[in-house]
Amino acid sequence: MAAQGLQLEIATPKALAVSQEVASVTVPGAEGEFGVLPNHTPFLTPIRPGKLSYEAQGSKEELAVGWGYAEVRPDKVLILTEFAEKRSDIDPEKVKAEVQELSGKLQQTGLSPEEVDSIRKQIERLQARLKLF
Amino acid sequence: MASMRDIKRKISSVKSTQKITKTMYLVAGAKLRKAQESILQLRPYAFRMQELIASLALRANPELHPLLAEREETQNTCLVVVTADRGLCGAFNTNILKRAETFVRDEEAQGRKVEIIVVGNRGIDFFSRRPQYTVVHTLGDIFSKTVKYEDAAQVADLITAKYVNGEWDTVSVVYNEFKSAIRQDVILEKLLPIVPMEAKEGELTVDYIYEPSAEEVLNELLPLYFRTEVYRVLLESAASEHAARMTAMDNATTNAEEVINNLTLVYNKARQASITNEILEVVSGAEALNQ
Repeated sequence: MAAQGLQLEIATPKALAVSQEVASVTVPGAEGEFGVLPNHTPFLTPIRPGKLSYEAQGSKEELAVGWGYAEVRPDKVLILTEFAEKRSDIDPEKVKAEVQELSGKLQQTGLSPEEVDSIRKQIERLQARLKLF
Repeated sequence: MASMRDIKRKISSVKSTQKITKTMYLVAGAKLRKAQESILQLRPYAFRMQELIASLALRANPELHPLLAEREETQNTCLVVVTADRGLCGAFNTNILKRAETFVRDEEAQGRKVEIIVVGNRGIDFFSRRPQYTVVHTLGDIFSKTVKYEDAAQVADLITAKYVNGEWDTVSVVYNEFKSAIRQDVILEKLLPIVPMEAKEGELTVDYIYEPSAEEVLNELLPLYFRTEVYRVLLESAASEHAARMTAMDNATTNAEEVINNLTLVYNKARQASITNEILEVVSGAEALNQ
């Protein structure tokens, strides 16, 4: 293995959010947060909404991501997720209001299990965004 | 020679046709912009997904999931034919259907049975008039608005189910790939089984560590991949359709212009001829009186 660098690519259905060389990545895996350095052993796991951070050229960047998958190869980390947003893309007040509204909805009776599930998932997506603040 | 009135009538009919083609050109242009945007947005995601899956197919044990396993005997093939819902878009539909027919002929020559899934009203019409083909599923009226992910997911899940329980051994798709507003390519692609990527020189193809377990990860990931892939194909086709219609309507407008010019020329000639005739009549009448 000659490759020393670690290529990070984050793709969402809207765009290729990140594609660059990084020193390390921390990913919110479904089974817990994990960090990746170059020459990591191949690894495949679902990810859950949360904060993804990476270090490149000495500076640390943070993104909020949604449900998806992470594939780790010795020279590359590939993240496929529903969304990847920077702090500047998010309006925390608006997100908080949405969380409130959805939490209110959860209190209602007569929701089907699928509806409850989809509302919970949406709340988790929103809370992932709030983790950046 | 046609009378002046006939020519005039012809000119005005061509003019109104030209108005229609011009409008269709503009509408197709607006729709193309939208469709182009959605396919360009999805592509990076879909291609990364392909990359992930190809890398996975290289590493993972093919026995872990039926979508990965290549079957020794390929008896039954499924072909997904993606056409448009409407015509007036040049050779768009014809090209696809021709390619599909060639594919079926080739496969049958090798002793395989081909079953067809048709997307788009044009294709449905075509195959309903040709009973020699076996059509197992049709999906029409999906391109009038932006293609819905649910439609793609439904077809994808149907294919996965039939593939997994062994009714088909391979699945291919034929569609128009969107290259640019003036270029669309007919593509025939193998969807299943998933083709592994080539190993890089010197790379050890060790299997992944899966979390929580290989089974759970693959059971969710592979159907998701397949749905994304079908969705991408439909979006490609939608963008290509609008582009093809735009080109066709632009040509039609130009042709109409040419016809109008020619007819105007003929009309002017006829008018001149009739004026000359009238003058001749007047002059010869006057001459007759003079004598």
